[in-house]
Amino acid sequence: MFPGISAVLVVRHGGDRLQRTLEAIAAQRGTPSSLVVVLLEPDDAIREQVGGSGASHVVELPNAVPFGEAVEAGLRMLPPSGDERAALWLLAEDTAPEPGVLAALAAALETSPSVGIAGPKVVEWDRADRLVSIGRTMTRLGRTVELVEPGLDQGQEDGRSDVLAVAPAGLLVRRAVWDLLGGFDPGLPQVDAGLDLGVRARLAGHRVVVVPEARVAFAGDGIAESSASKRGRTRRRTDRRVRRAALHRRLAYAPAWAVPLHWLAILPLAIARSIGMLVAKRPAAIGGELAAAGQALVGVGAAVRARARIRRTRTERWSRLAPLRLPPAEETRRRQAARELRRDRARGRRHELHFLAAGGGWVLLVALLVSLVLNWRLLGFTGVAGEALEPLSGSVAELWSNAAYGWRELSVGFLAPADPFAGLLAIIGTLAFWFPPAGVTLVWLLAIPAAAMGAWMLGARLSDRASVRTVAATVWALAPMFLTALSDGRPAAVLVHVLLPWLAFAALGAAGSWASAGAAALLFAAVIACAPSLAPLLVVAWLVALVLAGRGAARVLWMPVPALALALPVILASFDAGVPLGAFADPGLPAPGVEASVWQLAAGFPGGGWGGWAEVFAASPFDAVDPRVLAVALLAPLALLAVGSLAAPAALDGLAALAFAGGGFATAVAASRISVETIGSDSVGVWTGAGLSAGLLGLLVAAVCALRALRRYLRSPLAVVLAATGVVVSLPLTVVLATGGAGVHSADARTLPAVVTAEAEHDPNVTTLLLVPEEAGGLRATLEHGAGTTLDEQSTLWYTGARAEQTAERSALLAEAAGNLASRSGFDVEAAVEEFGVRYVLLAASDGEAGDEADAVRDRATLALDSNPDVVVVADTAFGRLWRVVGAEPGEPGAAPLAGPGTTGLLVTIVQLAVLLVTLLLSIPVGAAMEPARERRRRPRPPRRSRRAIAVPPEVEPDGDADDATADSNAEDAAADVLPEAEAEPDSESEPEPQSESESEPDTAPEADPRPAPAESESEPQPRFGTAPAETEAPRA
Amino acid sequence: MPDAKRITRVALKCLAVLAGAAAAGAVVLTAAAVDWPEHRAEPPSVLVQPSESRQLRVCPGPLLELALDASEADVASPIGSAARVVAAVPDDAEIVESDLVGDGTSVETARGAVDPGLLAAAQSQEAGTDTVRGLAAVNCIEAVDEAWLVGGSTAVGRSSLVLLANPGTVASTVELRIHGQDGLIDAPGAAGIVVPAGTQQAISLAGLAPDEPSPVVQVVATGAPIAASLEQSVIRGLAPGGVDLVGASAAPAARQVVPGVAIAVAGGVDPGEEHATGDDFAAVRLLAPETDAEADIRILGADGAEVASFGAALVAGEVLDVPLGELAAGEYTLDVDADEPVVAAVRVDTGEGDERDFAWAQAAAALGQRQLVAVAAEDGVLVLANPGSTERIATIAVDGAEPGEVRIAPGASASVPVDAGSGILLGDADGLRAAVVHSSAGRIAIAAVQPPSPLDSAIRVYPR
Repeated sequence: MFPGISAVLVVRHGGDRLQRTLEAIAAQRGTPSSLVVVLLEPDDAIREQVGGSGASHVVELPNAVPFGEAVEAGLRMLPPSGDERAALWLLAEDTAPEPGVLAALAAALETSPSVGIAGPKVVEWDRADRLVSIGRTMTRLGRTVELVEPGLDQGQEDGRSDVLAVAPAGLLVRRAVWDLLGGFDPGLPQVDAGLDLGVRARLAGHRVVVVPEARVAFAGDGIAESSASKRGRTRRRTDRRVRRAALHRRLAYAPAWAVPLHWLAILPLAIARSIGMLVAKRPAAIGGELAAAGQALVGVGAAVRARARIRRTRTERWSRLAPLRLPPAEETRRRQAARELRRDRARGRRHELHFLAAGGGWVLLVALLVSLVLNWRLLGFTGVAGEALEPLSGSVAELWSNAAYGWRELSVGFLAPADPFAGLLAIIGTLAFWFPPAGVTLVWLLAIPAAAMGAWMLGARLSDRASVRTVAATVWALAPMFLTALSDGRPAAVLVHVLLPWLAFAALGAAGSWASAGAAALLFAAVIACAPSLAPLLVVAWLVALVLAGRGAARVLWMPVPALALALPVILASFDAGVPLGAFADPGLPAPGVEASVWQLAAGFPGGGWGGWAEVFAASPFDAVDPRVLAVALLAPLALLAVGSLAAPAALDGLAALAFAGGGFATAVAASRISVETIGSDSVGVWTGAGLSAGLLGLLVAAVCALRALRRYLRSPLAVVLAATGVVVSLPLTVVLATGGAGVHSADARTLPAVVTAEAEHDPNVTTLLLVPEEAGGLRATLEHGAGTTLDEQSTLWYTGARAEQTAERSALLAEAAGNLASRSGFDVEAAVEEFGVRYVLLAASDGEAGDEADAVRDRATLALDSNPDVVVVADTAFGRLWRVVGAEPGEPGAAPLAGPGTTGLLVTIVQLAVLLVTLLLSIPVGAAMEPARERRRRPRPPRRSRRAIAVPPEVEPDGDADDATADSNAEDAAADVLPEAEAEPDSESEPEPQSESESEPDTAPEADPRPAPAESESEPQPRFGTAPAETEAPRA
Repeated sequence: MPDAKRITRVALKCLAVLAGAAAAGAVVLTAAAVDWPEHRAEPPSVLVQPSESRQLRVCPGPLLELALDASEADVASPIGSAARVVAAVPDDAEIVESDLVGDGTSVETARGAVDPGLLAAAQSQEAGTDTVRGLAAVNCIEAVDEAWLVGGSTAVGRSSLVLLANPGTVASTVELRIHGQDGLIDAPGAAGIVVPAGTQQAISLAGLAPDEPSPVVQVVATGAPIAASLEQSVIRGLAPGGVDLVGASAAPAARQVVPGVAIAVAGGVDPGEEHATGDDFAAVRLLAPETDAEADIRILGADGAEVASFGAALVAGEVLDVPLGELAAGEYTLDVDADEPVVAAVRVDTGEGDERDFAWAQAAAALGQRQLVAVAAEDGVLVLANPGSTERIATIAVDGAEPGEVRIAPGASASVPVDAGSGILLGDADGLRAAVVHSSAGRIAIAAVQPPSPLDSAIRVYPR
């Protein structure tokens, strides 16, 4: 019996833990003189449980108030005590003291009058040899840290006595000190209350000691302190409270003059830390960070009151605390240890590509050589010209401004959101910063190597075999739809083919890592920017992945967000204008093509041909052969292997890949039936090549799945056959490309006569009326601004007619002007000059294909313009005959933009930039090492207990890679088993708070976990593999 | 039993592969077999009617006669005056007639007052001097950048004057490219002829291409368009043999139709006659300007029946006159079908007698939907030829009266007598060819009706 010592026990849930605590109190050698039990929101079971405990007072509170408040409520039941030895023992239902604890604590107070607070050593509830806390302190900057990092306790820290503060649960405090200090700070309801009490006691001249021989088992149920649970939602809440408490203490402890500065810094710091969290791949923590900052900004009153309380009781200088703070050297050491731990772990789970060992270098070299052979004509020229090609803008700034919502100087000009593709072009132009138009040449030169590498990497995800990877690279880099796009000059289609395997590569890892998810999201946006027709297929694939992703769903969820942010303005504009299908229009300059038949599409040839085979046959003695026969023969190995993947061990992978291939084919067929854009008198169909690329990707993945399951003596010959047919099927196309028979050719980077471009150099407002005779008769009339329309200025909204309403008046005026200029007419050219600032009229030269009707129109227009006194001939140029408008003055007002982007435009741009920035930060692989390990270690293999285990019989599996793909494509649920939440970070570089180890991942939330009893693994973190970090093994030196 | 398990597994895999292959095949076959719905965007376009075009016709004015004095052989002086008839739809449209310096009259409407083709003017003059006699009637023409004058002769006793009128406001520089029997004639004075604004000049063809029995003159104007016509007069021995004014012929085309070939007196020379000399028989003048051409010439009667046909091999740039053969008196239509662009015109003669005249029938271009025709001389017959392959019904309204219908069988032509001074509005005439024939004893004139320049027609503009 310790006279004067009153124990306050705060009870919330009751049950076994309360029972153990009550029994532990009763088992003390010497019991407190009174036991006040404070019941929060009690039910009858708890009342009954407490009733038989011998409590002297029972207080019931209807609300779940914070620990400090509950203690105060309990104290009100006790009479004020004049006894100098009177003390309070603070307990919660989940703090079970060992029998000698009270005696040891009381002895500490008794032997030394200067001690105001004595705290026990806190250990884990179930394991007394695992330390939770043996005193707390602050770093120099005020961050709360445990004096000793939690871990295995072998008595090595038992020499400690004087500390800055102790954990609130189980501490014994002199009643006088408690009353003097006014108890816990109400501004710190859940976190740091004990630390703050210790700091104030120290400042008031009292010592705080820890008594290592007094051990209290602590469960961390969230009564005395915020819950120690690592479950997602709880952890996020704790994170927020920790941050909130840190900010509160910062305002409360800082010198008066610094308080306003600290307050002002709260928001900028929160934003900076949020960015850091993105880089560290912990986006889920951002909400709490911002919420805490907001609360701190508003809750200045609590900080002011806390400052007043400190001022009232402080007798010592702040500098007296300095020796008790964590030494800087120790802080540095801990940080280094944490970094090393992360590095070790990251090393263990890197995907080992064996790039050089598996022949990746050779593939890259050969692809580069092939690209040079096919494109050597483009070397040394400034531009590439082709059906859908135009030069890029001449300056990087212009490229980027064309990628944002704003005025589009396309013909009569209009205000519209940019195509997402313009952003991609801006990146390409920026890569060729010395001369942005050369970016297109770069794309053409690097397309084949980049496509080959993408397929090789994808192959590496799926298989360890060099042969399999090489086959994938060969078939993909020489695919007919790719070479058709290259030879036609379709930049968007080329980029789709290059990017698709990279997207697949990143997407397969998206469920397991934020970096992969971020990269996949960016690639997803890029692919859809290049080929909006792929959006339905990719969205369906994404939905399927989302369903299968299980715990990785949050990462997969983000994937289409950047694409949506970029495309939404265009989609809305299309819907608004009543042309919803216009959202599927191919970006860039529309290039009319021939409609491909379903058979041609099935054979992989877009653009309405047989990839040159029909011509080859016609020139050969076999001109009676149907090209379909050959297409079937050349496609057969790939198709058969792909279907064969259904018999391979991971049949579901094959099925998914085949379904994707079917979706790609369906996309191509649908694209061939839809045309949404018009240019001149032509209706331009959606390019079928993008769908075919997706289809081939599916087939190729399925074929790889089949190949990797085969034994070597079957695999090698089949791989050779597959590669050979892949090369042969594109042979006519490669020959055409290499010999210069293709539509794409090198050119100077301009589309207007030199007279105009020269003038545009010093007057960018110069406007040229371009008249193009159409095949169907009639004239296409558009305005070219400055040195001519560039590829990045193009807008699908113009060609789909989504901006027809906005431009109706000016378009009509332009048409009238053009029609009259091409006729003998009394039309007043001055009017057109004033409206549009037209200074030149260019009648496009014949390309030799337009036909008689076009020639007749050309003759007529030439005649009319020649005899028109308002225009004078300048020259016959390679682009056509050029006239100068006599009455045009330089700098006509009509040539300048009529409207700026406005508030809407700025808002759209800001949102798009924000989404991209977030994704970009997520995708930076720097943070990969900070991410909790998600992937299964490949070797040694633990006993399987996942549902997937049956999918892969070990005898055919060459190595762990196949299984890796299974785990990847099937949503990582297997990988998630491996990873108890305890594996979370102990620390992170950019966010150096110990609490941040409770990094919250949505996928660890119990509600998202379909498996039973997640609590087991949570309270009992068992490291299963060498690299899995265990709390106790934090390196010491 | 493990074997049974294994067999089951292998069987299941085979089944899966077969099912997969069947599904893939079914997908492709379905895709190919079904006629999927289509969505095709319609290219927006605007049919632009050239606005407020100013319709203008130029009448060459009175016949000219070269001075007999050899020292002034190039000076032409007018003889008498020509009667001019002007018509327009609507008939109250304001019309300004202004005389050009050096003969000729421009007939002009205000901007937008009438549609293209709905201003017509014609002039006629009957001369009876010692050297010039006969009827010359012509439809006043538009000024153009390029015109083909198919007719004329500079052989002994034939004089030909090229009349170049510039009704515009800026000076025009004209080049005359004269093709003869032996190809393009090198005539140094034929290039760089400056025709000041508001003037008409007469150029003697004999000075440029002497002794050329079969010239074809291509008039190329730069700067301002030119209305070009050709006056030819003939003296046989000492007696005047006729006079004619030749308007522009249809531009080179693979098919040419010459309507209103009026044979006054039966007779002629066989097309195969190698040594047909002189110009007193009906003959067709043909020229393929750019490339050698094979031309099939068919002579069609008024009922559309083919009266005669023959072929002609044309050498690029060389003019060929081919006699039409023996024909009964009547009106014929000449249909020239060549494999390369040609120009064509037919010369007819009233034949032996004291009072003698000849005329050139020019190839006429296809008419538009509506066309106004003015008639200046007496005894006029409007000939409407239908070179198409279907029967056509055109409407004819005289001087604003209620229109009447004319049925024309394929290949046939209709003849409608018209009075001097009347304006005749043709409706539903697109594709037809027309000429006004004035023929009576010893006097003949054939005025081809040319449609307005295509520069006046509507044009489709795609503003995207």
